[in-house]
Amino acid sequence: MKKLLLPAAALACLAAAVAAQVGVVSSRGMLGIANPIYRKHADQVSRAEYVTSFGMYLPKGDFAFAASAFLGGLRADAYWLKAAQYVSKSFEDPALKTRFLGDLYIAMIRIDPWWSSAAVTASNAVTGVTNDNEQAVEILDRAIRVRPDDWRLWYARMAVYLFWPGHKSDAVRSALIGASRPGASRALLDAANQLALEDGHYELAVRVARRRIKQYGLDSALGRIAWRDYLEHYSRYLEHLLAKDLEAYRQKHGNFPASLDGLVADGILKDLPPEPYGLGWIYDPASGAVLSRGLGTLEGARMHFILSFCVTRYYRRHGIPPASIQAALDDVKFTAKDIEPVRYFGNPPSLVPHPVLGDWKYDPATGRIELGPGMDIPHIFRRADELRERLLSGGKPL
Amino acid sequence: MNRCRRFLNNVVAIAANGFREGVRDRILYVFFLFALAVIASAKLIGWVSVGEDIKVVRDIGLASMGLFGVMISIFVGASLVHREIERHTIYTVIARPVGRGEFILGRYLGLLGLVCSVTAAMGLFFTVYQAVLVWSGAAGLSDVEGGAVPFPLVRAQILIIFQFVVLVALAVFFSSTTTPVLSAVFTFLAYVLGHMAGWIYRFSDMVLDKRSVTVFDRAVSLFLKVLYYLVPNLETFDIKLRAVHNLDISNFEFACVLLYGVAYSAAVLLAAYLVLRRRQL
Repeated sequence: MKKLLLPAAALACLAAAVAAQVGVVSSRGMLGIANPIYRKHADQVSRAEYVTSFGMYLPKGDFAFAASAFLGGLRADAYWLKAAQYVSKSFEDPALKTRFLGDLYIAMIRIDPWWSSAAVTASNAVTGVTNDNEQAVEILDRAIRVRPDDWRLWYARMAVYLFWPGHKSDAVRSALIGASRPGASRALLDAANQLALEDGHYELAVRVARRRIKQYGLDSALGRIAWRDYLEHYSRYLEHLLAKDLEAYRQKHGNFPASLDGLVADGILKDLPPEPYGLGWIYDPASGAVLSRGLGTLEGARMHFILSFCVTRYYRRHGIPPASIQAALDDVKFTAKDIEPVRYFGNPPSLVPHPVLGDWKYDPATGRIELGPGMDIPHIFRRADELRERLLSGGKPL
Repeated sequence: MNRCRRFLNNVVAIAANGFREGVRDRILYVFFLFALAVIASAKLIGWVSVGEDIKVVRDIGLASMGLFGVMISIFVGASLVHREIERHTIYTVIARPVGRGEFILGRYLGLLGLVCSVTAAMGLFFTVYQAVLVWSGAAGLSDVEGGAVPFPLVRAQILIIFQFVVLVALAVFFSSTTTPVLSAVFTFLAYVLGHMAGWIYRFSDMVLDKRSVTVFDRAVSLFLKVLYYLVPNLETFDIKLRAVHNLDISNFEFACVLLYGVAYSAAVLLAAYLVLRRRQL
């Protein structure tokens, strides 16, 4: 009996060790970061291959891990340094260079799945190499699975979706999630706001603008900008809703109501929503077009700025003012980068009337486009600031 | 009570003697100074690492601590018991009222104390070095990344030191069963394979990763899973990859890892004692 005591004690210790090991595996498994388990997933994104033409060797498959068992970090660092060297190296075939870099970065994240910078760079390289957005998102999603709180991964995910046609909503979603992560760049939330608006998600744009105000604080400089954006987005959102209600009225009665109050009288709306700038709605019963006067003023002022720029450019090029605004527009060529001018005037550009004032007042002798008092950008921003101050002093903005 | 006190006194005396013996070994200082030099030069590589300098510094620092600690364990620990047997100095010890168990435990604690002290000194140097880099602004580290010495990094250092609890036990086990050269080889292999234990778990999954799974496949998978839990799993102590990114592990996991180290080394030491007890000296 005494003889068996020590072996039994040894076995008991071993059993305790096994129990502790089970605890470690279950803990890492629950977090989805058990090394062997994670690596199994990580292998699925592996594209590491032998590249012999440049004397560079990348271990394939399982060997990469086996060879870096307890020095994985150092091995990943070595790849990072190698990649840094190859970024500046000139290749005869640029596509081969990007492919090569893609392989290096993917090898890095296979070894060190927690390395966000490598995952971000790998996704950039993959989109650059093959334009394979799906794989880029997959790489980022795997990195996000182990580091969900890293906003940089969400930012990179937003960037991939942004340049992937038809995925703007995903870009907005990524930006929104990323913006809620600790230490997130403000650029994420601002980008989400802009993207939501461009994609026609007016309600989402309003929600994001509200979140920006909450995050920055209404009394801060950034909050002031967010408030201006909020008024603009909210006006656009209400315009969109009113247009839908007017269409519902037309379907019911065969024509648009004589005034917007007709919507209330017909029971489609309980109350007519106040125009966010407090300047009233502009409504055309013939076409059913509804416009926020504040937003129309702001848009008109922006259009005025672009038109004035075109006229000035025409003047500099030809030495005389253009005979008409359209002549100035005909003289310019908008590119894909000119997002706002193309949005207002199209490409090739054609003159559209001021949203509130109608036809533009242009003097061919001086080359000036008259806007009239109270119709410029500073004026509408002052109006927004007044509303903000009213809100800050405890009152309702309208 | 007296027996217990005598046991403790004997163990402490042997451990202190072993520690002093290890401190006199010149190879210890060679490794220690070389480790400090490697840690101190980490910034040189950090300079060319394009925005990832602090990660590189941390990777090199932690890897140096682990690697040089292992070398000390292997080179000092391999000949630990065998040398005593070869020189017959063990007779002077066990001729006294000292049991073989006390001798094994004393030798183990002496070597462990030595390795832990040296690794802890490296850790301290590494921590101060990092703090200086951050303080001087040379590390390119932002506050978001966790200040001078983030807590996960401290935990990683503790676990590096704690892996020697198991490794030194294995060194003592091999030292009491075979020659110093073989003991050094076996300890090194145990270290390398211990860090690859995760692959056994992985293979147990891979066996089942096909369309038609037979009973034999299931049996092999189960065997591999059992094997995974039985072999010394040093990967358990390795949280370096996460720590350099300032990612922490749960307290539960940390406690499990510590418990694993203590329980596994106790099992190995008992096995070493069982072997030495049967051995004719």
